[in-house]
Formats: sequence, C-alpha cells, structure tokens
Amino acid sequence: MLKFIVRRLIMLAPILLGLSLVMAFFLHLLPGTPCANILGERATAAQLQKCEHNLGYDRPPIVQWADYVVNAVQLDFGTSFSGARLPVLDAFLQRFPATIELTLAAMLFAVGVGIPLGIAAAKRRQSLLDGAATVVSLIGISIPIFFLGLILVYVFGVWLHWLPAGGRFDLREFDFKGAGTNFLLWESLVIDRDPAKFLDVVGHLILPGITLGTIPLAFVMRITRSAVIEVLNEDYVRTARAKGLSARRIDSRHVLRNALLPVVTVIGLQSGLLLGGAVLTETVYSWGGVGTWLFTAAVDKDYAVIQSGTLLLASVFVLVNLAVDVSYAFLNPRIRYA
Amino acid sequence: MTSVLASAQGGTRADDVVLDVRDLRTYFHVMDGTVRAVDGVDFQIRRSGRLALVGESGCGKSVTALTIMRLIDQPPGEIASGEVWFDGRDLLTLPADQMRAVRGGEIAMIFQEPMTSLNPVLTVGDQIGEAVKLHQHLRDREAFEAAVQALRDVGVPAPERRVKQYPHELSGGMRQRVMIAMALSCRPKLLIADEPTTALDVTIQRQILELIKEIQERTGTALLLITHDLGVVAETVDEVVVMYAGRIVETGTVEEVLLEPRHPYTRGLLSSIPSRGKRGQRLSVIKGVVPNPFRMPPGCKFEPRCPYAWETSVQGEPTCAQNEPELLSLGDGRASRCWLHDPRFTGRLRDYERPTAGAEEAR
Repeated sequence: MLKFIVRRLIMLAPILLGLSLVMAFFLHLLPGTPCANILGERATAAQLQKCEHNLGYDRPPIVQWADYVVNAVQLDFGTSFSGARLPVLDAFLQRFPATIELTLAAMLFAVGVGIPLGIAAAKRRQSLLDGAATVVSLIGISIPIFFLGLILVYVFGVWLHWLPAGGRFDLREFDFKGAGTNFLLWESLVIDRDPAKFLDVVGHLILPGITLGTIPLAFVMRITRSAVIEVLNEDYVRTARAKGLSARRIDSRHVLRNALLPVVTVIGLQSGLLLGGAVLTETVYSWGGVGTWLFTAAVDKDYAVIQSGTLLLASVFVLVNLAVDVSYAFLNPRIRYA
Repeated sequence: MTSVLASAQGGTRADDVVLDVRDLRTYFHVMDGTVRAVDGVDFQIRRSGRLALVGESGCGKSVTALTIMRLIDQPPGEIASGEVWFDGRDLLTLPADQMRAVRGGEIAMIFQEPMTSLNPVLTVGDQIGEAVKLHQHLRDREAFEAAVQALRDVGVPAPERRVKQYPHELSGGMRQRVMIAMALSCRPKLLIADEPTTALDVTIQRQILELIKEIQERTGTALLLITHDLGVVAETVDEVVVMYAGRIVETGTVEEVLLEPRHPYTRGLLSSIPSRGKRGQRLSVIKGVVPNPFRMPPGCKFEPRCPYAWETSVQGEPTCAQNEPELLSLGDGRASRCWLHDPRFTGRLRDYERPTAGAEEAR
C-alpha cells in the first residue's frame, strides 16, 4: 500500500510538468502580456517593450517555461503583480483554507443528505418519497448556483435574519489575527477555544455550503439510489436474508458497504472539483477562496497566479483522487495495491 | 414411502414429517399479467428424509423453495394460498421475527451460485459467524471458533487460515463448501439445496454432492434438493417430485421414478439424458418449449409437447387439450398427473407401457 502511494506521488511530477507546459503555451497564445495591465492604458510602446524585456516576456516560450520550472522546483512560484503583490504560494496558502472549509461544508451537506435520501429512495422505489427525491435532485442540478445563492441570501439572510448573508465570520464581533492559518473552524475551536466564535464561523458556512452542495447532493443521491438498488438484487443479500438476519442488519452490514463503492468515487470527484474553487458561490457570499482569486488573475493576466495556481490546484486534485483510491482498498478487499 | 401419497390425498400430519407443504400457490404480478409460478404444490419430507424437486428451468421449483423460506419479494410476488407446516407451525402465518429465527436457524439454504452468493467485502469467517451469533447467541470469539469448526466439518483445508479470507480468494468449489458450512453451522432440521452443483466443474460437482450426502447422513438433517439434473437425483435422494409449469406431475421413490417413469414428461426427461448405449444416435429431446406463462394451455400443461396426447371422439370423455388431469394416485406413494392413469384409458396405458415401442412410434 505504501509503495502504491509513493508511486502515485512520483507520478505527480510528470503530470505537473506536462500541465505547466500546456499552461505556458496557452498563456503565450493570449494576446498581449501582463505589462499592459501593469503600466496601464497610457504606456508607450517603448515602455511596454522595456517592461517585457525586464520581466523576460520577450524570450521564447520554451525558455520562459524552463525558467518557470526551475523556480517552481525550489518552491518559488513567482509573485503576483496585482493587489498586495504577494508571492503566489503565500496568497494560495492564505486563500485555500477558505476553499477547504467551504468544500467541507458543501460535501457534508451533499453526503449527509444525499446518502440517506438515496437509500430511502432505493428501498421504497416508485413511492412518493422516491419521486420527490428525483424531482428535488433534478432541480438541484438544474438551478443556477448564483440564483440559488441569491435566493438563500434573500430568504434566510435578509428576510428572516436567521443566518449571515456573507463573509466567513462576523467582523464586528470577532477577529482572527492570532494564528494566521486561516482555517477558521480550527482556530476558533482548538486555538481560541471560543464556542461562540466557532458557532459564528459554522453559521457563516451554512448558506454557502448548501448553495455549493446542491449539485454534489444530486449526484450523490442518484448514485446511492442506483447502487443500493443494484446491491439489493445481489445473491449475497438473498443469502443474508436466508440466514435470518434482520432487515436493518442486512442494510448496514451487507448492502451499505457494497453500495458505497461507487458513491465514494463520486464524492472524491466532486470534492476535487469543489476544491478547485467555486467562483459563483464565492462571489455571492464574498468568500475569499481560490475560485475568485484565479478568476481575477485570469482577467488581469496575472501570469504567475494563473500558472502556479493551476499547478497547485492540479496537485490537490491528484491527491484527492489518490485518497479515493486508498479508501477503495479499505472498502473493497478485492482491491489490493502493490 | 406413503408420505407423498398422503399429502396428495390431504392426509394428516404425522410426527415423523418435518415439512408438509399443502396446496402452495405463488404468483407474480408483473406488467404483462400474472405468472402462476407455483400453482398448487403438495409434498412432505420426513425427518432426515431426502427429497428432490426436479424440473426444467422455470417450472417453479426454486420459487417453491423461496416460498417455504418466505424469501419472495411481495410485491411483485404473492403467496396466494397454501400452508407450509414445519415442526408444528405454519411458516406462512408465522410472525416475521419468529420466521427470522427459523431462517438459517432451523431451515438453511444453499444457493446455486457460490460466486455471487457470498458477500465480497466480508471474510468467510464473518459470514459464517454472523449466523451462529444470531441463532446460537455466541460471542465474537466463540462464533469465530464455531466458524473454524464449521469449515473443518465441510473439509476445507487449513480452516484457521481460510476463515480470515475473503470469498474472492477461494475457488468455486471452496466457496460452495463455505456456503454449506454456513448453512449447517446452526444445525438446521431442514437443508434446502437449490441447484448446489450446477455452477461447478464436473469433478467438483461430485465432491460437493458426496459432502452434502455425507453431512446429511451424519447430522440427520432433512434434505430438499432442487435440481434439473437427474444424475444428481439418482445419487442423492430417496424420493422425487417432478414439477412442470408450476405443478407436480409425478411423485415416487427415486428408483421408481427413474426406472419406471409414469408421466410422459418424466419419460421425456429421462430419454434426453445422453448415455453410452445411445452413442452415435441422435439425442432425443422433448420437442417444443415450456408454455408461455401468460398463455397456459387450458388442459394438461404438457399436452402441446406430449407425444402421447390424444384427441377423443367419444362424447363427454376428457381430452388432453381441454381438461387438466388431477394428480392421480397410483398406490405405493406414486402419483402421476396424466389421463393415461385414468381407469377409462387402460388400453392407452398398455400401449404406453409397452417397452419403448409405443414411445418410438408416437415420436
């Protein structure tokens, strides 16, 4: 197993190398260079040329790429030229925790509601509940995220005042200057040991989590439903019934563990996608995650951020998939990695 | 040997009868209509008795077994009528929790597909152990020991090691041994084996049959064997019930049924077994196919395929195509559902019983 994990981690190197090459050429294909944005509209051609020369954008793309790779291997991912002009790695580490927390909330919602709902729908096939679950999941997939987000903000934030309408915590009551990890759940609960603060952070996660979690919820529900239906028809479930086990025991011991395999794939895939940033949800809830960060960088032609941000997120995606594969081995004894 | 006859005549339950099935009817309500998978089946098994339900696929033999265990999904299934007396209780009216105690505890079942009948994500020890834990109220450690012992009893080599393995690590024959170990771990009074050797290699088939027989004799459990393989029947059981289209068509001891089949269907089954004596000849088959369950013939269900069926011109006389015969008692525990055995047709019966000639002509 350890050997398998190490080999998969080594595989990460060619993936990232290839991806960075593709990114370098895509950036080269974009008209213009960051210099136009740095110098502004009134820059002269000579100024632009000087800037491009100084920053090395006049070199052949392959040389620029090689230069980038050499720096990146030393964990120097370049510096953003907009905003606070932070090194890309620092900016990423500052924003990524927000994305992780948002993803956790969304997946918790998707899994916590999707799996029980899927099981219930499978067990009472063609019932009212099954039909309702199908309709709800269809709506969940079809409704645009920004629309759902705004509706939730309006109803629960503005109208009912039950939940905060945006942000990650109440700026008027709390501050998070201490540890600086930007994992607010962790900081409020473990470092500050302040339950009120923790609940405030959780409260801020609810609406964005639901907004971002509806689509994964629909997927998880559908996959769970079909997997459970399939497993219920398996011969070994009949064997378990012939043994005299109770329905509950058959479900928990024989059905669920087998049905969970395809569900885990979907959970992993969806988590990987969400960790790549959620531009719409982050925008609606003014959430400082990696989605808006990368989006702004793309608009601003912030080369370092686009290039390195993509690489970092690709690494995350690969690692999540590795975690899924490893969890397979625990769920399914037929899979052994060597 | 009178048990089958007794049930056919609606006789009383004797103390030495472990299973008494009466007028069992199981229907399936599907989109195209109702399939009468089991349509009025009666039979009995004595304590430690061995009985085989024989017939082609779709004749209702497996559904009969699943109905006895109450493992029919309802809907689409429906146990429309009947009684299943087991140890003084009618299983069909037993409360669900008591029925669960019977399943696995007093009646155990072995299925056809050892490849898919074991849960792939649990060790065989877990799967045997959960049955003993449930029915004999053992603790984890004792259940583990019981699982090892159960594997040893069915001749699994190195049971201490095997008990921790997963089904995919075992061969087909080994898995069927595990299924048998699981079924027998709670010392059931009745073992139902649904085509236990069909999915196995021929060499393994014999081993598994020997094992079932040996264990049956050692533990004294009654055996209900379900098979389409008359070779298996000959080696394993004492009594035979032949089914066709959800009905019993013939009953008797194994020697009687195999050597002197009374029903044309049984005769057809027997003559379609390849044998050394028939080398070089064309294998005889029962012409036609099993009737469409939605369009059952009005008379004898076997009539469309029967080489002995006849039309009659005599007014008021029953005909094969129009009137379904009863399961007619032939004495000595034998019965056959065929007009040939009606006293009115003794002439035709003589032709039928003339060694082979009649059959060959009719074909």
